[in-house]
Amino acid sequence: MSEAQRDAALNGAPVDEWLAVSAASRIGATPLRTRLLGRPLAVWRDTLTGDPVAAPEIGAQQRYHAIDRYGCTWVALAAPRRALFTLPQYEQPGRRVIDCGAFGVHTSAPRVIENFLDMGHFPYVHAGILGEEPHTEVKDYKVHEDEHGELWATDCAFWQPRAAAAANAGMDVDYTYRVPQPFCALLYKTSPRMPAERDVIALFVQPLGEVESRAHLLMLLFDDEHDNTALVSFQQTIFGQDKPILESQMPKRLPLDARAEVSTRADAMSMAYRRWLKATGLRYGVEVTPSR
Amino acid sequence: MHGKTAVHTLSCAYHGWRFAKDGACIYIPAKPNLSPPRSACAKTYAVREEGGLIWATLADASWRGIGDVQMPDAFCRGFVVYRSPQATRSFLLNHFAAVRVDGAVMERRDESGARCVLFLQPMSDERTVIYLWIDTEDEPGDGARIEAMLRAARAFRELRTQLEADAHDAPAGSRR
Repeated sequence: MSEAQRDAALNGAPVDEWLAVSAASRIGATPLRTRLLGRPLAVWRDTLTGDPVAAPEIGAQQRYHAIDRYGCTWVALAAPRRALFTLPQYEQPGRRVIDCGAFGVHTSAPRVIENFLDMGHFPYVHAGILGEEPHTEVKDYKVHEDEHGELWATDCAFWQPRAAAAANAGMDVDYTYRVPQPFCALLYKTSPRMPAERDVIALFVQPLGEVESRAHLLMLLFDDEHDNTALVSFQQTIFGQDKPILESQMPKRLPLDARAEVSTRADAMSMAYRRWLKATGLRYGVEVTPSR
Repeated sequence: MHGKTAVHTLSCAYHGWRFAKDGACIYIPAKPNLSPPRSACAKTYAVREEGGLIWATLADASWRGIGDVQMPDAFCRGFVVYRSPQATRSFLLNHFAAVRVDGAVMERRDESGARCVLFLQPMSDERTVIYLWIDTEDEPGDGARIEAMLRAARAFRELRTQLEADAHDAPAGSRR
């Protein structure tokens, strides 16, 4: 048993999970120094093989597991328990892959994911963009866990004044949410340019520590008009609105007890996410018993 | 709670839940036809408006006013200080040469007779807000009043820097 696995057995940290640590394009010969699950981490690229390399520090003998996938570099501190989830849209012709950068947030990774899965805050936190009064109702949607153990919310619909940089007017937007891993979430939403297709917005959260995170945002979309700056700044505006709200949420660890916070059917995905996290045995960035 | 007021209710900044004066949630915009559950209730505290300030008590303390201090007419600004309320209070008693009124109000006059009044808000164990007020009735006109307020704020900013640098009784980890 490695040192990382022994630690994990003690604190329930997902050391054997692939975790995103950077956009792959930002990893080069010069090491990126960051943290993962409270531990120091250095990531660089082997100039001969082109493969990413991860280690506790630059001079260390020890190596962590590292791969490039879906525009990101992923690291597992111990032998990964499973392969990374599939994302066929990444290879789909005609889609642009846009790295929207990383956002530091002073809260736990599950809080960041849960906020991403929530439609109810659109008319308030993202007023005029992703929602607008009086279009506040979150219609009932379906939640299920698939045969791979991934969590889905389907048949979500929400009226949005400006659903994407490419949207010129308000529209009813169809949403599908997918949580393939505890700290990864994907959103498939109506593409304003290609109504038959869905734009994909990916949120991969890097837990720097239990209550300190970096959110890596990636978009896979059909938009031949806006340049990267316009598309990235759209997402940065959205995330900039979420950040202060996320950082004010107490407790910073996501409470998994259903009685800890009041919810309605509009929060079905959030409640399912909390139950699902509890069932996976994750004990990192969460509160299993109420803090009060 | 962060939010804004809307038709005699407080609307939460996150999901727009509206709370009545007693703290009960009366409207959940994501489910407009749902009667909010009774468990959806925000805690409320007694509050009053007095002398241009809003006062709150976490434990139903009775209103005692601000003693013999006469409320100044001009609010200069609020300073957030990254020190405990206790450390802030004792520093000000030593360095502001204040006439202590009680734990939360301090008054002083400088050599020229100009008066400053401070109101202390214990924000947390590590943070204190200080509201700085001065008298400007004797100033000859608006320009002079504003100048006096800026001067007082500038002078107090220096004191704040000293206060935050005065670390001898600061608990470890409480500094910015």
